[in-house]
Amino acid sequence: MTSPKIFHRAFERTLPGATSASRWLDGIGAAEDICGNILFAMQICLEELFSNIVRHGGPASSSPPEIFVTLEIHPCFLRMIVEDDGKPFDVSKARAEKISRPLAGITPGGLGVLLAKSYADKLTYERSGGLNIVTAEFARRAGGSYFGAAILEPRATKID
Amino acid sequence: MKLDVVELDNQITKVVLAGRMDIEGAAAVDTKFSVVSGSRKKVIVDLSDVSFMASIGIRTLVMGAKAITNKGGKIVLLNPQPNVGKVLETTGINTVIPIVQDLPSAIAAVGV
Repeated sequence: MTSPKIFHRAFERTLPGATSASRWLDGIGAAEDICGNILFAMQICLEELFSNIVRHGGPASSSPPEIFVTLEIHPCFLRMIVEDDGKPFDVSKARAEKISRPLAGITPGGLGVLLAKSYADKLTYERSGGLNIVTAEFARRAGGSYFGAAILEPRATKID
Repeated sequence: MKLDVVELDNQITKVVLAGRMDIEGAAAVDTKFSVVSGSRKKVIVDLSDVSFMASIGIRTLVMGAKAITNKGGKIVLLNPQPNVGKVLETTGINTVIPIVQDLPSAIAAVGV
Protein backbone atom coordinates (compact mmCIF):
# COMPACT_ATOMS: atom_id res chain seq x y z
CA MET A 1 0.00 0.00 0.00
CA THR A 2 1.37 3.40 -1.03
CA SER A 3 1.60 6.08 1.64
CA PRO A 4 -0.23 9.28 0.81
CA LYS A 5 1.72 12.42 0.09
CA ILE A 6 0.65 14.96 2.71
CA PHE A 7 0.75 18.76 2.61
CA HIS A 8 -0.33 20.89 5.55
CA ARG A 9 -0.42 24.61 6.21
CA ALA A 10 -2.08 27.20 8.46
CA PHE A 11 -3.63 30.30 6.91
CA GLU A 12 -4.87 33.58 8.35
CA ARG A 13 -8.56 33.33 9.15
CA THR A 14 -9.35 36.22 6.81
CA LEU A 15 -10.66 36.61 3.27
CA PRO A 16 -7.13 37.33 1.98
CA GLY A 17 -6.20 34.11 3.76
CA ALA A 18 -8.54 32.31 1.35
CA THR A 19 -6.58 33.74 -1.56
CA SER A 20 -3.32 32.51 -0.01
CA ALA A 21 -4.84 29.06 0.47
CA SER A 22 -6.03 29.00 -3.12
CA ARG A 23 -2.55 29.88 -4.42
CA TRP A 24 -1.03 27.22 -2.16
CA LEU A 25 -3.40 24.63 -3.61
CA ASP A 26 -2.66 25.78 -7.16
CA GLY A 27 1.05 25.33 -6.47
CA ILE A 28 0.54 21.79 -5.23
CA GLY A 29 -1.73 21.06 -8.16
CA ALA A 30 0.96 22.14 -10.61
CA ALA A 31 3.79 20.37 -8.79
CA GLU A 32 1.84 17.14 -8.40
CA ASP A 33 0.28 17.26 -11.89
CA ILE A 34 -3.28 17.14 -10.59
CA CYS A 35 -5.78 17.23 -13.45
CA GLY A 36 -7.28 20.68 -13.99
CA ASN A 37 -10.86 19.52 -13.53
CA ILE A 38 -10.16 17.90 -10.18
CA LEU A 39 -8.14 20.91 -9.10
CA PHE A 40 -11.07 23.12 -10.09
CA ALA A 41 -13.38 21.05 -7.86
CA MET A 42 -10.91 21.25 -4.99
CA GLN A 43 -10.55 25.01 -5.44
CA ILE A 44 -14.34 25.41 -5.35
CA CYS A 45 -14.55 23.45 -2.09
CA LEU A 46 -11.59 25.20 -0.48
CA GLU A 47 -12.86 28.66 -1.43
CA GLU A 48 -16.40 27.98 -0.20
CA LEU A 49 -15.39 26.25 3.05
CA PHE A 50 -12.82 28.92 3.85
CA SER A 51 -15.14 31.79 3.00
CA ASN A 52 -17.93 30.25 5.08
CA ILE A 53 -15.66 30.03 8.12
CA VAL A 54 -14.42 33.60 7.80
CA ARG A 55 -17.83 35.14 7.20
CA HIS A 56 -20.08 32.98 9.37
CA GLY A 57 -17.84 31.02 11.72
CA GLY A 58 -18.06 33.37 14.68
CA PRO A 59 -15.08 34.31 16.81
CA ALA A 60 -12.12 31.94 16.87
CA SER A 61 -10.71 30.82 20.20
CA SER A 62 -7.10 30.81 18.98
CA SER A 63 -4.89 33.84 18.53
CA PRO A 64 -4.00 34.67 15.85
CA PRO A 65 -7.07 33.11 14.26
CA GLU A 66 -6.08 30.50 11.73
CA ILE A 67 -7.57 27.91 9.42
CA PHE A 68 -5.63 24.70 8.88
CA VAL A 69 -5.70 22.96 5.52
CA THR A 70 -4.33 19.47 4.90
CA LEU A 71 -4.10 17.85 1.51
CA GLU A 72 -3.51 14.11 1.15
CA ILE A 73 -2.72 12.65 -2.24
CA HIS A 74 -3.68 8.97 -2.28
CA PRO A 75 -3.36 6.64 -5.25
CA CYS A 76 -7.11 6.57 -5.89
CA PHE A 77 -8.35 9.82 -4.43
CA LEU A 78 -7.45 13.20 -2.96
CA ARG A 79 -8.50 14.23 0.51
CA MET A 80 -8.69 17.83 1.73
CA ILE A 81 -9.22 18.56 5.41
CA VAL A 82 -10.20 22.06 6.57
CA GLU A 83 -10.09 22.77 10.31
CA ASP A 84 -11.09 25.82 12.33
CA ASP A 85 -11.91 26.60 15.94
CA GLY A 86 -14.94 28.79 15.38
CA LYS A 87 -18.45 27.96 16.49
CA PRO A 88 -19.67 24.45 15.64
CA PHE A 89 -21.13 24.26 12.15
CA ASP A 90 -21.92 21.02 10.33
CA VAL A 91 -21.61 22.03 6.71
CA SER A 92 -22.59 18.53 5.60
CA LYS A 93 -26.07 19.07 7.05
CA ALA A 94 -26.45 22.74 6.19
CA ARG A 95 -29.30 23.79 3.94
CA ALA A 96 -28.26 24.06 0.33
CA GLU A 97 -30.70 24.78 -2.46
CA LYS A 98 -30.37 25.62 -6.10
CA ILE A 99 -31.79 28.94 -7.16
CA SER A 100 -35.25 28.36 -8.53
CA ARG A 101 -37.23 31.49 -7.72
CA PRO A 102 -37.74 34.50 -9.93
CA LEU A 103 -34.68 36.74 -9.96
CA ALA A 104 -36.40 39.52 -8.02
CA GLY A 105 -36.95 37.22 -5.03
CA ILE A 106 -33.40 35.90 -4.78
CA THR A 107 -31.18 36.75 -1.89
CA PRO A 108 -27.85 35.08 -2.61
CA GLY A 109 -26.90 32.81 0.28
CA GLY A 110 -26.27 29.13 0.78
CA LEU A 111 -24.80 28.74 -2.68
CA GLY A 112 -21.34 28.16 -1.25
CA VAL A 113 -22.55 25.18 0.76
CA LEU A 114 -24.34 23.85 -2.31
CA LEU A 115 -21.16 24.13 -4.37
CA ALA A 116 -18.98 22.50 -1.73
CA LYS A 117 -21.41 19.59 -1.43
CA SER A 118 -21.76 19.27 -5.17
CA TYR A 119 -18.10 19.33 -6.12
CA ALA A 120 -16.72 17.00 -3.46
CA ASP A 121 -17.37 13.32 -4.05
CA LYS A 122 -17.71 12.96 -0.29
CA LEU A 123 -18.04 15.69 2.35
CA THR A 124 -18.06 14.86 6.05
CA TYR A 125 -18.01 16.88 9.26
CA GLU A 126 -16.79 16.15 12.73
CA ARG A 127 -16.38 18.29 15.86
CA SER A 128 -13.36 17.22 17.85
CA GLY A 129 -11.07 18.95 20.34
CA GLY A 130 -12.90 22.24 19.88
CA LEU A 131 -12.36 22.12 16.13
CA ASN A 132 -14.69 21.94 13.17
CA ILE A 133 -13.11 19.34 10.89
CA VAL A 134 -14.48 19.16 7.37
CA THR A 135 -13.13 16.43 5.11
CA ALA A 136 -13.70 16.56 1.37
CA GLU A 137 -12.68 13.72 -0.91
CA PHE A 138 -12.21 13.75 -4.65
CA ALA A 139 -12.00 10.52 -6.59
CA ARG A 140 -9.73 9.89 -9.52
CA ARG A 141 -11.74 9.53 -12.67
CA ALA A 142 -11.16 6.84 -15.27
CA GLY A 143 -9.15 7.76 -18.35
CA GLY A 144 -6.95 10.74 -19.01
CA SER A 145 -3.32 11.22 -18.12
CA TYR A 146 -3.63 11.44 -14.36
CA PHE A 147 -6.94 12.26 -12.76
CA GLY A 148 -8.31 12.88 -16.24
CA ALA A 149 -12.00 13.52 -16.49
CA ALA A 150 -13.31 15.46 -19.44
CA ILE A 151 -15.55 18.13 -17.98
CA LEU A 152 -16.12 17.53 -14.33
CA GLU A 153 -19.69 16.60 -13.58
CA PRO A 154 -20.71 17.66 -10.09
CA ARG A 155 -22.16 14.66 -8.31
CA ALA A 156 -25.86 14.56 -7.68
CA THR A 157 -26.46 16.18 -4.33
CA LYS A 158 -29.02 15.07 -1.82
CA ILE A 159 -30.38 18.19 -0.16
CA ASP A 160 -31.58 17.55 3.37
CA MET B 1 -9.54 40.17 -12.18
CA LYS B 2 -10.34 42.68 -14.94
CA LEU B 3 -13.57 44.31 -16.01
CA ASP B 4 -13.82 46.18 -19.30
CA VAL B 5 -16.90 47.93 -20.60
CA VAL B 6 -17.62 47.99 -24.33
CA GLU B 7 -20.52 50.03 -25.68
CA LEU B 8 -22.22 48.32 -28.63
CA ASP B 9 -24.93 49.61 -30.97
CA ASN B 10 -28.52 50.06 -29.80
CA GLN B 11 -27.57 51.01 -26.25
CA ILE B 12 -26.22 47.54 -25.52
CA THR B 13 -23.33 47.32 -23.09
CA LYS B 14 -20.90 44.42 -23.08
CA VAL B 15 -19.08 43.82 -19.82
CA VAL B 16 -15.97 41.73 -20.38
CA LEU B 17 -14.75 39.94 -17.28
CA ALA B 18 -11.37 38.22 -17.17
CA GLY B 19 -9.69 36.24 -14.41
CA ARG B 20 -10.92 34.40 -11.34
CA MET B 21 -14.26 35.35 -9.82
CA ASP B 22 -13.21 34.26 -6.35
CA ILE B 23 -13.11 36.31 -3.15
CA GLU B 24 -10.28 38.50 -4.39
CA GLY B 25 -11.57 38.77 -7.94
CA ALA B 26 -15.16 39.57 -7.04
CA ALA B 27 -13.97 42.27 -4.64
CA ALA B 28 -11.90 43.80 -7.43
CA VAL B 29 -14.82 44.19 -9.85
CA ASP B 30 -17.85 44.42 -7.55
CA THR B 31 -18.13 48.22 -7.42
CA LYS B 32 -17.55 48.72 -11.13
CA PHE B 33 -20.07 46.01 -11.99
CA SER B 34 -22.62 47.63 -9.67
CA VAL B 35 -22.12 50.97 -11.40
CA VAL B 36 -22.64 49.42 -14.83
CA SER B 37 -25.69 47.42 -13.79
CA GLY B 38 -27.16 50.44 -12.05
CA SER B 39 -26.90 52.62 -15.12
CA ARG B 40 -27.50 50.31 -18.12
CA LYS B 41 -30.59 48.43 -19.29
CA LYS B 42 -29.18 46.02 -21.89
CA VAL B 43 -26.14 44.19 -20.57
CA ILE B 44 -24.14 41.29 -22.00
CA VAL B 45 -21.64 39.82 -19.55
CA ASP B 46 -18.85 38.13 -21.47
CA LEU B 47 -17.49 35.30 -19.31
CA SER B 48 -15.25 33.67 -21.89
CA ASP B 49 -12.07 34.72 -20.08
CA VAL B 50 -13.31 33.86 -16.58
CA SER B 51 -11.44 30.76 -15.44
CA PHE B 52 -13.05 30.25 -12.02
CA MET B 53 -16.39 31.12 -10.47
CA ALA B 54 -17.17 30.83 -6.76
CA SER B 55 -20.40 31.70 -4.96
CA ILE B 56 -19.15 35.19 -4.18
CA GLY B 57 -18.76 35.80 -7.92
CA ILE B 58 -22.26 34.50 -8.52
CA ARG B 59 -23.48 36.95 -5.89
CA THR B 60 -21.96 39.80 -7.91
CA LEU B 61 -23.74 38.60 -11.05
CA VAL B 62 -27.08 38.13 -9.27
CA MET B 63 -27.03 41.53 -7.57
CA GLY B 64 -26.20 43.17 -10.89
CA ALA B 65 -28.91 41.23 -12.68
CA LYS B 66 -31.47 42.29 -10.09
CA ALA B 67 -30.52 45.94 -10.51
CA ILE B 68 -30.89 45.67 -14.29
CA THR B 69 -34.18 43.77 -14.31
CA ASN B 70 -35.68 45.97 -11.58
CA LYS B 71 -35.64 48.86 -14.03
CA GLY B 72 -37.02 46.77 -16.87
CA GLY B 73 -33.69 45.89 -18.41
CA LYS B 74 -32.22 42.61 -19.61
CA ILE B 75 -28.98 40.79 -18.89
CA VAL B 76 -27.43 37.74 -20.47
CA LEU B 77 -24.28 35.75 -19.74
CA LEU B 78 -22.08 35.04 -22.74
CA ASN B 79 -19.93 32.00 -23.44
CA PRO B 80 -18.73 30.75 -20.04
CA GLN B 81 -15.88 28.24 -20.03
CA PRO B 82 -17.15 24.67 -19.47
CA ASN B 83 -16.22 24.43 -15.79
CA VAL B 84 -17.62 27.89 -15.06
CA GLY B 85 -20.78 26.96 -16.96
CA LYS B 86 -21.13 23.89 -14.73
CA VAL B 87 -20.91 26.07 -11.63
CA LEU B 88 -23.65 28.31 -13.00
CA GLU B 89 -25.84 25.29 -13.77
CA THR B 90 -25.12 23.67 -10.40
CA THR B 91 -26.38 26.74 -8.56
CA GLY B 92 -29.36 27.21 -10.88
CA ILE B 93 -28.28 30.67 -12.03
CA ASN B 94 -28.97 29.62 -15.60
CA THR B 95 -32.66 29.42 -14.72
CA VAL B 96 -32.84 33.12 -13.82
CA ILE B 97 -30.15 34.66 -16.05
CA PRO B 98 -29.98 33.38 -19.64
CA ILE B 99 -26.68 31.91 -20.83
CA VAL B 100 -25.82 31.99 -24.54
CA GLN B 101 -22.78 30.90 -26.48
CA ASP B 102 -22.32 33.60 -29.13
CA LEU B 103 -22.60 37.34 -29.47
CA PRO B 104 -25.49 37.45 -31.99
CA SER B 105 -27.57 35.31 -29.59
CA ALA B 106 -26.61 37.59 -26.72
CA ILE B 107 -27.64 40.68 -28.65
CA ALA B 108 -30.94 39.04 -29.54
CA ALA B 109 -31.50 38.03 -25.91
CA VAL B 110 -31.17 41.56 -24.55
CA GLY B 111 -33.42 42.79 -27.32
CA VAL B 112 -32.60 45.06 -30.19
